[in-house]
Amino acid sequence: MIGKIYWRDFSASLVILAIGVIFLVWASTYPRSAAEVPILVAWITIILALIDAIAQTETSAGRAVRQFVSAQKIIEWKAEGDEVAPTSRVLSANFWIFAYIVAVLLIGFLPATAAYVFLYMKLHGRKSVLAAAATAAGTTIGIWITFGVLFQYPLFPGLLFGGNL
Amino acid sequence: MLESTLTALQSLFTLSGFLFLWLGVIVGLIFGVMPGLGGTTAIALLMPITYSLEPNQAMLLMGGIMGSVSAGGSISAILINTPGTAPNAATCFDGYPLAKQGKGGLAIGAAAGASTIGGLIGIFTLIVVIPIMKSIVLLFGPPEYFMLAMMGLTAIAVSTGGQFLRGLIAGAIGLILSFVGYDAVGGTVRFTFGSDYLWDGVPLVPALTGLFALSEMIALSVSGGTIAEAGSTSKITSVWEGAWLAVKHWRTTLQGSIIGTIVGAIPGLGGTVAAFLSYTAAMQISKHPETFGTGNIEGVIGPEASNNAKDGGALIPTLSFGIPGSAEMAVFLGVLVLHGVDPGPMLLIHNQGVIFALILSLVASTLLSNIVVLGIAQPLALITKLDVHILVPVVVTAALAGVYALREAAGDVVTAVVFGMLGYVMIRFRFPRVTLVIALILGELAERSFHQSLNMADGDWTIFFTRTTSLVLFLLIIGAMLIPAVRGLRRTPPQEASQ
Repeated sequence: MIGKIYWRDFSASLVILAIGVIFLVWASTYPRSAAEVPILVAWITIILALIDAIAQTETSAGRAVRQFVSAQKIIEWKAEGDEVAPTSRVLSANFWIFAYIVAVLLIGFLPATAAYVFLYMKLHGRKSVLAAAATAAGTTIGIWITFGVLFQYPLFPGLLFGGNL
Repeated sequence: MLESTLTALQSLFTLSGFLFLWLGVIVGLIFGVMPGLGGTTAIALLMPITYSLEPNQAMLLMGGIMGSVSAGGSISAILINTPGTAPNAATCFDGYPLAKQGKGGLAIGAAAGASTIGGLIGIFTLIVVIPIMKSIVLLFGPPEYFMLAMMGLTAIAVSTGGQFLRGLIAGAIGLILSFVGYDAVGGTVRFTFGSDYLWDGVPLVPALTGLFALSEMIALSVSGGTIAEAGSTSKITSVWEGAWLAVKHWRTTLQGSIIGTIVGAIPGLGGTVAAFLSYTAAMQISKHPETFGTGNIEGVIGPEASNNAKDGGALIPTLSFGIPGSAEMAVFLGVLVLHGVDPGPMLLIHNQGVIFALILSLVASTLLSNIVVLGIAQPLALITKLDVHILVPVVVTAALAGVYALREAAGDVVTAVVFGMLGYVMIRFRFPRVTLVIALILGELAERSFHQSLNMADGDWTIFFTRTTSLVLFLLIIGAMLIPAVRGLRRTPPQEASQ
């Protein structure tokens, strides 16, 4: 009988499992020499994902796995955990990066940078118009001087202005 | 030899020589700090300028760049979790947590101290080893490369502490990503979704920038506040305290320097592998391995010592055989050829003066750049006290501009953002990013060496254990895997063990 399931982490294990299965099927379509190691890694991924899924259940097997492969000590992400962050804020933070990249691709680096810095600071960071405008201008000019003038790297002009992907 | 050394010294102690050295140091620091750029780009950019210079002046300029790039890269790695250059990625793991604790100055000081010592050890080794290099390089064939890659991957087992399983899963995902692109043995194009962009594999710099810089910026954007946690302090003496810590932890510094020099000297491996191996090794000799990743200063000292030592090491095959140890050295080789210097066994006979000018400039730039870094570390550490809603857009735009500038590929910017979001998901679900990165870097090397080794031995896998160097590396891997377990058993009190 399956006891309590920690759904959040259990679903993460299932996603990894799906990735492993898809990768296994995909790797199998290549010639032997090109597929040998990827297939091995795909099987390892599937097995690890299954063990991780078991570890997310409150069963004797789950507890045993947790005892062996995970502990209370969390290292790299210990100081970074933000699991309690509101979903709206997470979506908003990702949206701003996504919006910036779309703007870069469409209108190019410099106009997109000015617009992104200003709007992010004003709308997401709730800074004053003056602070947002000054930072936007400073950042844009800084990028232009560093990359465009000093090192003479062409900055992406944007698809609307003749840029190619 | 004495005459050549004096000639090199003369070229350094002239106004023009000193200016070229400083120009190299400043350019190196700037290119090191800017995420995505790095030494290869800096050398390539200034290569045409050297055409009109005397060979000795050109060496001073290039040595200035090579000796200072990693020092610059450590600053952004520590303060904003953004590796200025790929080898600085390992510095992020403990440097950034230290910055979050208000100890950014301490971490930069330790990085500068370790970098100086590592750089000098690397250069000293270069001087000593050039005459006997051939026999050392010939010790490493495909089985040894495979074992070296495996040694790097053992970091997966030891660097994730309590999240061993999720560390392994992240490593497996990293390996999967490393298979994207050309199969190094058969030439088959794999897992590219039909995109030409992915034929050469997942580009490393955008991936690293995304995983560390952008994901961190997303996390900061969500949390708000400042990088340095409330109540943390940044003492004015921290920078020099940090530099002293590199001396105090001399075993870690020396070990990182030796790893950096050796790995740097092996063509095809490079500074990133050296830094990660050093990080793993530092963890294994540490008295407090469980604190790695949370702000252990040894986690900064090991990789940074290795980062600067690798330059001396990478110059060994470059100068001795004309085989570049890294992309940076490949471009530098172009500079040598441009000035009529033919790398090879006869180099020290025909161009001794030029080589000593290079060695001298490396020594001087290693010292100068780290003195500059120590001088500016304290004001730079104030970045960690800045409101993240000002910092985030500035870092995001600068990082992505740097990523684009490297290859002028808009796809790199998209890759960085995709990896940024992946990195953030990993933070949320407690999958360690370090293991993914290690596997991504070493996956291709491991697969290629594995196939080459088996081809060499007609499919007989015992080749990995019948060659002395390979066997020694294998035993080191076993030792590396066992040390934390043995240490853990020795430390676990009986009542805890029984729980």
